[in-house]
Amino acid sequence: MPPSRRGFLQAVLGTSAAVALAPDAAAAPTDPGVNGEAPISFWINGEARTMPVAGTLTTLELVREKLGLTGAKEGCGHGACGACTVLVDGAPIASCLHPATSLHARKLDTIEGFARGGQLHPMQRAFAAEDALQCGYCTPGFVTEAIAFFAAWRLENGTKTPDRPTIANALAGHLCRCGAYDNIYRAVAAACAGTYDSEVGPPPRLEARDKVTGGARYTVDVSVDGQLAGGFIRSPLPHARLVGIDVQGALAIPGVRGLFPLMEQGHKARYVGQEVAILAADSREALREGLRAVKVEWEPLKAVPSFDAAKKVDAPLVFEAKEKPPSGAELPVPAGKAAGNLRGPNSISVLMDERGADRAVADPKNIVVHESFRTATQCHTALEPHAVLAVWRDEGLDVWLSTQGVDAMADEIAEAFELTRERVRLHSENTGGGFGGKANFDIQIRGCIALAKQLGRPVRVALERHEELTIALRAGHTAEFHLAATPEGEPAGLVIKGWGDGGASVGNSLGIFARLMYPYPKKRVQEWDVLSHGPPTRAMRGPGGPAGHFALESTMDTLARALGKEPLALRQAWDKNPERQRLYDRVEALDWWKDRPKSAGTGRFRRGVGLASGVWMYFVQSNTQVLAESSPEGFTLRCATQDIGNGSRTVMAERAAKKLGVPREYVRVEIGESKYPTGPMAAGSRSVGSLIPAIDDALDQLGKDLVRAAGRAFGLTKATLGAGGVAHEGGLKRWSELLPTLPRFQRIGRRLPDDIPYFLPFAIGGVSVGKRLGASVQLAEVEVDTRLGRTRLLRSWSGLAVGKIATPVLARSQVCGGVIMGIGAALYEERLLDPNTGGLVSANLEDYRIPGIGDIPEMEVVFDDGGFDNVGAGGIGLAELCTVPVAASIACAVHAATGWAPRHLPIRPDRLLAGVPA
Amino acid sequence: MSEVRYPTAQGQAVWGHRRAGGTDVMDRLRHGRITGALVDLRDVAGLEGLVALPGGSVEAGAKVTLARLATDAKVRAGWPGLADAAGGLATPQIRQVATVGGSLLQRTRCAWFRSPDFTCHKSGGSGCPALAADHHWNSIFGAGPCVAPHPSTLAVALLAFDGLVLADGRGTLTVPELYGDGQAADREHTLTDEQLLVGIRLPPPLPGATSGWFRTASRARAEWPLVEAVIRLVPGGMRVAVGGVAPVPMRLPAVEAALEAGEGVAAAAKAIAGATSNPGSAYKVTLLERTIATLLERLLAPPGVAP
Repeated sequence: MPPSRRGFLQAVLGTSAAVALAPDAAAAPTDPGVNGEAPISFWINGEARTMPVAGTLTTLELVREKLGLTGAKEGCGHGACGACTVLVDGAPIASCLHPATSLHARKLDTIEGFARGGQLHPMQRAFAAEDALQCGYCTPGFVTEAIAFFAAWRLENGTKTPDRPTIANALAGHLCRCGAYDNIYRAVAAACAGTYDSEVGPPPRLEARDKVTGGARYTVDVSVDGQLAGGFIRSPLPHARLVGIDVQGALAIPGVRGLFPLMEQGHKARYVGQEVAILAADSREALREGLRAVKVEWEPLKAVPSFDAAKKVDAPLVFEAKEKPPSGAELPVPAGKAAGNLRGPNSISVLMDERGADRAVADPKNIVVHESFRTATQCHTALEPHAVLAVWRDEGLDVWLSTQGVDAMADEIAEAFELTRERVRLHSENTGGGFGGKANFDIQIRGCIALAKQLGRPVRVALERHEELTIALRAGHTAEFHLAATPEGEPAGLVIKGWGDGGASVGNSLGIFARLMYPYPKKRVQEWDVLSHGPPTRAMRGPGGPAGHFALESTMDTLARALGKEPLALRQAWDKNPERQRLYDRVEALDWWKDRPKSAGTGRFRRGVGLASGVWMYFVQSNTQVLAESSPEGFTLRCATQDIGNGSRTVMAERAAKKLGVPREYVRVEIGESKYPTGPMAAGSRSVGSLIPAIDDALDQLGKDLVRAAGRAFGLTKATLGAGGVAHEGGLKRWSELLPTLPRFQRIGRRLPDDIPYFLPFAIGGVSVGKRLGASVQLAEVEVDTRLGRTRLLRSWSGLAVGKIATPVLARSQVCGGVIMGIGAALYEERLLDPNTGGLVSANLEDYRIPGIGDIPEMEVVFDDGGFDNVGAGGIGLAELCTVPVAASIACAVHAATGWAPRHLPIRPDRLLAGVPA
Repeated sequence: MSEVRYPTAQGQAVWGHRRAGGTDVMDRLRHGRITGALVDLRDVAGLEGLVALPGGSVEAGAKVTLARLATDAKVRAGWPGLADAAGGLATPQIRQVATVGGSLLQRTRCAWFRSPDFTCHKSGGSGCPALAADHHWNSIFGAGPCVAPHPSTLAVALLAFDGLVLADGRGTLTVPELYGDGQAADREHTLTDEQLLVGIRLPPPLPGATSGWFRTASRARAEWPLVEAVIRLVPGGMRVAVGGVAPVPMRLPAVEAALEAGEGVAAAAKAIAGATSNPGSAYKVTLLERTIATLLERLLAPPGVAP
C-alpha cells in the first residue's frame, strides 16, 4: 500500500484557510479565444469546416477541445513523443506545437478518420493483431504516422517488406513507454507487406480496436460541462518556509476562479516543485497566466539539493531527527536511525551470519571482489500524465482518475473527504501507463477534489510533462558490494552497503535481492537513506530491483572472472532455485550464448553477450473479489480494478471464457469503476495472480447456480458444468440456449489462499506476501562503438519462470516492455537536478531520454511454465521480474565486449569513452 | 495572452516574435518564455520558394520546410551534406513543419533554458546555471556568458557550403555575420527586430565535391547532438563545420588546411586545437575529433565500400 499522507491533508482541509474564492461560480466562462481570433477554413477528416480560432491555439487543442476528437493525445507538449500526431495535407506533424491558424486551407486528418464504414485501415488491423500496443495512449500517434508511411511505402515499393531501420526512421518521432516497439516493427512491416489488407480475426487484446481507432477513453479525454482547468503553484526553492500566498493578482485575470492551499503557512517546502496550492481557471491559457500571477512569499532556508553534498556531516538537515520523512517504499519499512541526513542502517539481519560475512570478505585465503556502483534516478514517464477530474454532485463525488488503483484510491478519497465509500464513484476506463507512478493517493488528487468542492465547479487537473518528471521517480543508489568465494569456488560471504538517493524521502532499498537470489547465510546487508532537498520517490516497476540486480549480478560476473569460471557456470553452481536452473539449461543450449565472443574485442565495434539472473517477489491482493453474472446476454465479470496496459481486461475475459468453454466475445468485462467489488491495484506484479483465482471462485459458484437452475428448468439429469454449457446425461445444453431462459445469477468470488501458506500469516493493506519467487535469466548482446562511446543492443533473450501464463501474447508484450525500460536504465535515463538550485534540469522528453524504436534489439521471450501448481493462479506475476535484471545484463555485456566493467548507470558516451580507451 | 498578427507583406512582419512552423515558438509560448506579440508569417508572400538561379545557386525561402529541403532533387544533388542534415535532424513530424528560418533562428536547446525551473541570461534573468552545474553539454570553444552550444544543425550545414543568409533590412549575410561571435549573453544571432530572415542562398556546387553530415548522440535517433559535423570535400574548397561545441556554428580551419594538404582522415586530429574543457566536458573534445574522423572515413571510402 502506498504511504498515506492523510494526516497532513486533514490538517489542510481542517484549516479551511481559503485564500480567495471564485467571484461568481455561475458566471459564464470567458472564451479563451476572444483575443485575436481569426477565422480559418479547413477540412477535418474530409469534411469542410470554417471556424474562428485564437492565434495561440494549437492544432492539438483545436481537435481535442474544440472539435471533440480526443484520439490524438498530449504526451509531452513539446513535440518529442509523437502522441499528438495528426496529418496535415497527408503528412504527419506534431500537433501540440502546430498553430491551429496554420491549418487554413489545408486538410487535417486525425485517427478518428481512418476507419471508414467500420472497416479498419490495414495499419490499424496490424497494430491490433500484432499487439503493437499496451496502455494505448501513444497508439493513435503511432498509427497515424504509420498510416502515412504505409501510403508512401506502398506507392513506391508495393507490398515489399520494409526493414527495421526504415521503419525506425519513419517512427523516430514517437515514444512508447510501455515498450511495444518490437510488435510495432512487426505490425508496420506486416501491414506494408499486405498481410492486413483484409479483415482478420479478433486481436489478442480485448480493447485493441478502441485503442487503434482513438476511441479508447482516458481520464484526460473526459470532460463535463463547466469544468475548470486546475494547476499547481509549486515551490521554486529547494528549502524554504512558506510566509504567505497572495492570489489577488491572479484573481484579477479574467477566467481565474479560485485557489486552494496545499501547504500551511509556516510549513516548509523541501524540494523545487513541491505543491503549495492549486488554482483553477476557465481555460488552460487563463490558468497558465494565473499561475504566473500568484505571488508566494518564502523565507529561504539553507538547502542541500544534491545527494553527495547531503551526506556531508555539516550539511543542512532536510528533516530533524524527530521528524518522519515520507517513505517511497510500497510496504512499510521501519524508519532508520537518524544521523545527519542519513537514516539507517536498515539491515536485513534475520538468519544472517553478519560476522561470518565480514570475516569471509576479509579472509586473504578467499577470492574476493570489491565493487562500487551508482545508478541514476529514473522517472516513470507514463505517457498519460497524472490526471484527475472531480465533480461534486448532490448524490456524491464523481472522480475520473488516471490510476493504478481504482479501489484503493476510492477508499483513500472517501476517508480524506469524510464520505461513505458508496458516495465516491471513481472512474478509470483506461490508464495511460503507470509503472508504479500512479499508485499513490497524491496531493494533486486531493487538491483537485478539494478545490472542486470549494468552487462548486468541476475541476480537472492534468500535469504538464515537467511536473510529471518532477514528481514521479525512483531513487538512484550508490552501493558497495564485497563478494567472497572460497578457493574452491564455493560461496563464502557477501557484504553490502547501500545508500539511497531518494530526495526528501526514505524507504529506498536495493539490498533485498541479494538476500533472495543466492540464499547463503553469510551476508551483511546495510542500507541508508540519504535525505536531500529533492523530490521524494515512489515505487517504480521493481523499485530498487534494477539497481540491486545491476550491482549483484555485475559483482557475480566479476567474481566469475576472478575464479576463471564462465558466468553461467558460476550461477549454475551457486543458485539453488530450481526454476532458474531450468532456465540456465535453456541458456546453455542457445547458439548465440555458445558462440559468443569469449574475450573482449579490439576494434572500433566490439560485441559482447552479458547474462544476469533475476528474482522477484510474489504478492497477492488477498482481498480481491470478482463478481460474475449470467444474464440472457451472456456472462459479465465486474471488479474494481483497472487496465493500465497490463491487460487485466483481457486476462479476465480469457479466463472466464476458458472456464465456461465459450468464445471470449461471450464474456463482458466491466472494470475501472469503484462501485464494483474490491479489485487489485496494478502494482507489485499482482493483478493476474489475484484476479484469476477470484474469477475461478466466482464462476464455480455461478456454475453451480446455473447447473441447478438448468437441471430444474429442463429436467436434466446428472447435470454438471461442461465446456460451452451444462453437460448432462443426454449431452450438452449450450449457454446460448440456456441463458435466455434462466434467471439472472450473480456471485462474488474471492481470492482464496494458495495451497502453500503465505510468507507472513497476515495481509498488509489487503496484500499478502507469497512464499514463491519469480525466477528469470536475461541475456543481452551489445555492440559497443568504442570510438563514439555508444552502446547498441543487438539481441535480447528473456527467460522467465513464473508458472502458467494467462495470456501468452500479452505477457510477451509486457516482458518486451520491461526489457526496454531496462535498456533505458542501462543506457539513457538519468533524472538530473541542478546541484545548486535543486531545479529539474531534465524537464522534458528531449532532456529525459527514454528509449525510442531505433534503440531496440531483436527480442526473444521464453516462458518456463512449470513449478507453480501450488499457487492459486498456477502462476505468478512478471511485470517487475522482466525488467529487474536487464540493466545488469547490458552492463555485463559491455564488460564482455570491452573488458571494461560499467559501474555507473546510465552507460553514457562520456563514461564509456573514459572507461574504454580507443 | 499574446496577440498574434498575420501580416501579408514582408515589410509588415516586424516587431514581434516571428512564427512560421511554430515548433520552437509554441513551446516557449507555453512555458511563458515568450511575452508580447507574435507575428505569424503564414500569409506573408514570397518566402516559400525553392528555386534554382542562373549559374547554379539555389535559394530557399524562410518558410521552406526542412522536409522539403531534404528531399528536393536540386538540393540533394548539389549539397548532399545539407540535405542529409535537414533530413536527419529532429523527427519526421518536426521536419514536416519546421522551416529554414525557424531552424536558423531557434533559441538555445540548453536544458536549463528549456526547464521552467530556471531563468538565465537568455530567458529574462541573469547568470548561467549550466555554468555552475554539470558541464556535460557545454561549449568547448569560445563559450560566452552562456555556455550552451548553438542549436541549429542547418546553420552548420549552411556554413559548410559557404551559404548566405538573406535578411530584409540587412541584406546578404554570411553565416558568421548572422551569428556574430557568440558572446552576446541574451541572443543567438545578430538580426534586430526590424530585420526579417527571408531565405538562404546556396552558392553553386563545386565540381567533384562530396559532402555529408554526421551526428553523435547517445540514442539511435531523434536526439540533439553531443557533437555533429558537416564536411565538404573538394580540393581548394575543403570545409569542416561543426555543431554542439561552440556558441555559434564553427568551421575548423586547421582541419580544412590539413585536408587541403592531403592528410585525409588524419586531419581530424587538428580539430581540437584551442578547445577548452573541464572534467565534465572533456569527452566532447574526444568526440569532436572522432566524429570528424568518422565522417571523413565515410566520405573518403571508395564508392561501394562501407568504412
